[in-house]
Amino acid sequence: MPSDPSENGKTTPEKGAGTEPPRIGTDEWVAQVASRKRQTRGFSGWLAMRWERIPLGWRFGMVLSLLILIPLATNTQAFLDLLGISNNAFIVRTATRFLVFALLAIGLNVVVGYAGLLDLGYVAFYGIAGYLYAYLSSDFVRIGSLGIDGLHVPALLSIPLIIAVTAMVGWLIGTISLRLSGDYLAIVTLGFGQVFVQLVLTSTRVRVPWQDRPVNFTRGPNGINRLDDVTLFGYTFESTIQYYYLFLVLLVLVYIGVRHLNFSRVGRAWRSIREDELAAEVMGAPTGRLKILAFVIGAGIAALAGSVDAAWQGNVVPVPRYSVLTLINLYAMVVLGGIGSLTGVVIGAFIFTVLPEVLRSSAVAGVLFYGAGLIGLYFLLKPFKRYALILIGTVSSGFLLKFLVLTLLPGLHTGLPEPGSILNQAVQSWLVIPADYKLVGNVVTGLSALVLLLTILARQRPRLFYPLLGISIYMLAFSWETRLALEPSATRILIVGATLVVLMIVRPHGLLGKPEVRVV
Amino acid sequence: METFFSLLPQTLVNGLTLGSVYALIALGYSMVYGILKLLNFAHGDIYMIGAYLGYGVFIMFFTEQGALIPTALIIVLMLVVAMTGAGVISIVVERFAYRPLRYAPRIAPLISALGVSFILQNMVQITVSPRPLSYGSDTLIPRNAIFELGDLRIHASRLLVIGAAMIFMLFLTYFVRQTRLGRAMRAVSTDLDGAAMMGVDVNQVIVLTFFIGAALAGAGGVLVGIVFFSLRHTMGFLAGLKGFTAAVVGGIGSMPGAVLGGLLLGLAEAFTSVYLSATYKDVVAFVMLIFILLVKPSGLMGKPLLQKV
Amino acid sequence: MPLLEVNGVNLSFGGLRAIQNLSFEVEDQEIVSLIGPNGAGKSTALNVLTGIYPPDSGEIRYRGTSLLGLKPHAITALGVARTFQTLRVFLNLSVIENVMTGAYCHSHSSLLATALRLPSWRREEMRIRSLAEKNLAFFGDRLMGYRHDQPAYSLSYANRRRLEIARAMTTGATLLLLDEPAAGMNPNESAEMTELIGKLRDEAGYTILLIEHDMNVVGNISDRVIALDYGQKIAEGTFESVTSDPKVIEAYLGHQTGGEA
Repeated sequence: MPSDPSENGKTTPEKGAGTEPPRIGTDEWVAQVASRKRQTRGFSGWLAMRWERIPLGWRFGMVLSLLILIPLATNTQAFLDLLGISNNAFIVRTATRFLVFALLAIGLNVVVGYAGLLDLGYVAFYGIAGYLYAYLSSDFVRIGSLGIDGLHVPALLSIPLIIAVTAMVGWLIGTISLRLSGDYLAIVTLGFGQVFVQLVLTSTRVRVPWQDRPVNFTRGPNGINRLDDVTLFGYTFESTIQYYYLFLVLLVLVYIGVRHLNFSRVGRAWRSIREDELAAEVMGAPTGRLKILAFVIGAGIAALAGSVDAAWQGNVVPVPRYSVLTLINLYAMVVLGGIGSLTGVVIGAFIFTVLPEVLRSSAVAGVLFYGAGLIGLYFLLKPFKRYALILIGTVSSGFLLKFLVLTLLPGLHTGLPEPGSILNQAVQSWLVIPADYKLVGNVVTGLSALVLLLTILARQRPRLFYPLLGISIYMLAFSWETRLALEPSATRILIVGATLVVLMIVRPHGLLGKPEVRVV
Repeated sequence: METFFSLLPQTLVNGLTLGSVYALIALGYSMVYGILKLLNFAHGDIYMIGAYLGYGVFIMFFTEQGALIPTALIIVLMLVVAMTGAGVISIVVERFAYRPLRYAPRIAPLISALGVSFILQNMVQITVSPRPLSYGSDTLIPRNAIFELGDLRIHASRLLVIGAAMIFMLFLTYFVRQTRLGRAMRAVSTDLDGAAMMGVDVNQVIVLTFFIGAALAGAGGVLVGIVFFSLRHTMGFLAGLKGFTAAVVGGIGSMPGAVLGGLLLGLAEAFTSVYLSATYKDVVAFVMLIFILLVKPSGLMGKPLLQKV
Repeated sequence: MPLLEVNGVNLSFGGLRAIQNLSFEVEDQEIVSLIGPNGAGKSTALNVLTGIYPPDSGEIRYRGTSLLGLKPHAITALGVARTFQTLRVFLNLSVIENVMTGAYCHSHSSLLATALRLPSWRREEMRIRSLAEKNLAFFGDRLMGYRHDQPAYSLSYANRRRLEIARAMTTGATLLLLDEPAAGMNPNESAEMTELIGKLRDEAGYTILLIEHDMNVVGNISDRVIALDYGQKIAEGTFESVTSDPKVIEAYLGHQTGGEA
């Protein structure tokens, strides 16, 4: 996706080829500090510069055509052979999930990024829309006395209705929580989200005055299934690929719409509220109404995503889809991408839907683990000579240790029963792996985290740092081979967690977010 | 009506037990928030770590032959190890995940805290066990250790929880009110930069706050294990949410508020379980939260913020 | 009818009586200065006028319309805009965006028109932008051209004060309440600001209520001066008469009795 330049950027006429750069210390020079700081060097800087020179429309078109091509390109024989899979259903599914999450993240970005309201109940809007769609488009609603045996409202009618109702709920929540500010708003909305999930889970035997038997409103944790597909103008969306393109169209429309809003009076007012609410109010912006508006628009976008998503999945289940886990995921996407930056948010959604899926396969996870480790180390240890020295030193010490163990304590090293891929075998060739590797691995995994943190603390003292670094590399490789690679489900979340912490420390304002200036 | 009164004392005891644990967790939330304005979402997982450390001590001294040392000593040892361990881990978390972000946008440490929460949970899942563990229902405190007061029957474990929590809270109050470090803590929570300029070692105070908060949560983890038996690596999530809720209901940043909020939440849950339905206890907790905040937007004992123009 | 009428306004914070029985009027096209020592209630008076603090009693009328009970944004929409003593520009917005935010109360594009960029939206956006550019041009080359797209945090202190005035002008107000516009400026810049305030009235037709400590600024442009102390009006009149009023001198210098300095 293209990056967000300040769109009002008229190219300044006086900045021609012939003009001199401003003299150091003059007003003009001071004024350009920010842009000078932004200039990056090296290959990535060059790439970013080239990318930004392409006109906005072209950039948009390039990314869009890439997204259009994904389901087609991944279905070619050459691509399938490359990955050694029989069909691309999984890839298309993941890509569609990405689009759903991108939509949701854009909606969340309106509330959190633009208006600066910490809304932790956002995922409930997604859930409400899902359940409303389930009621309106399945056999679930049965009222014998009225002769209703399942509602099947056409999508063209039901989806706008769902959006309207959910937006009304957003309006209500927004109005109620206007009394609160900052963190209190966060906790009340979190409470709202929890109440939604808990009500869905527990409203299975509700006594109502108009019936003798208790009514099952939600089917609890089982959720409601067999929902209708979306039918628009006689065309029914059935397969995931069809939904993929439907979501793509919706994403493009919402992206453009929200982008336009951002560069208008409403967007400016939102951002001014985020900067200084009182000043915004005094400058004529009705801050109360604008905050509610942000809630309503966010809820509306969540409802759009939620209803079509329910149709695509064919069912609704409260946990984990509408639970806090999804909310955490969405926040991670928005913050990682760069709060307030639409493109960043979409990239964040991409990373956080694709990364966990990629990490599902322990072979791929291994390649990523060691690859990221090697690259990270390179940047930590530049120049190359030092880098190579550390790596070679660590590996050869590993071989030496193994040789000593094999000669002095034969029988200690047994190796793993299933060594795994070539990469795993290569790493294991310089590790001592005892018979009860599981227990030792548990201990080493815990300790390696500790040693790694110690290493970080010691980075100013070379005499301590380099040996510790070697030890942590050895221990990390050991714990990966003996424990982490064997528990992919927990490991992938571990990696996601570590990614979050590291990225926040390296770039607290996200990948594409602008660092903000605050007066303390 | 008769059943109402006959169940009342028992419900009160249950509510206070649960409430004491919530209060212990809430205190950590509130103290950290008071000083750094940080919602430490990893706090619930610190509580979980405490419970698991207690479990480590438990299996070390409870072999198949029975207890190696007196049970009371085991419980004390479990508490000590859990509190120290949780405190140390919390200090490490602060040093590596929060301190680099102290002047970052407000939401960055929040996300970092979520990352820490993922890491702690899954480290435990990988290195200990993904299955639930148990302190054993009968091993630490025998099932028949019951005090009877008229109709009221209180199991010793509940008395232990309430008593231990009260001792910790009294100690904390003394510490914050009467000691030099406690005074430094209050100064930092009023104005971090101002305190730093007046010569208070802010980092030391923050580390101390994290340590104390985590130690209380760790103790809470062990106490919960003793009363309700079961431990899971995911137990920190809901408990953390409840502790957070309690802290906010009481007025986040206020220590007496955290205790009050915890006890209220525990009582509300106990009463809902008995008089309404156990399935609605979580709903009630959050409805109560929303209601209280709407009536008193800064919590029961929180001070409303003054806006300077 | 005066443009602004303040009649018997009282405001207290707890036991502190911040404003006591304050009454004054501002005529159309007039420049009135509020002076007084620190803590006299000048800024509080401005906060009451703009609806940030609702007064305990009294009446405030602008062009005959009561401002009591109105939210600050509604008061701004009626035509009373202000600047802040402690600068409150939107630091992370660009200079031109800062000024354009002021136009919110007199722009009307619907959400649909905005999302679809209909011609009506385009026309309005053009109008707001040219209004903002015009108002920035009022400050000469200080905030011109290349400055427009820079973030406001890159501006100097004096330029931020100018930016705040431009932002207040863009709200379409006729009464500007300027809270210490020359604070923190060097003598050159203060002189320039004095001239500018005069221009705001003479060329652009604004009415100005000014809070200022710099007596050079006050003396040079004020038609009328009102002195406050402990929330009460202690003197009103021309600059000369007010500054020579014994009560005003006492307020600034303290009670002087013979022998003690």
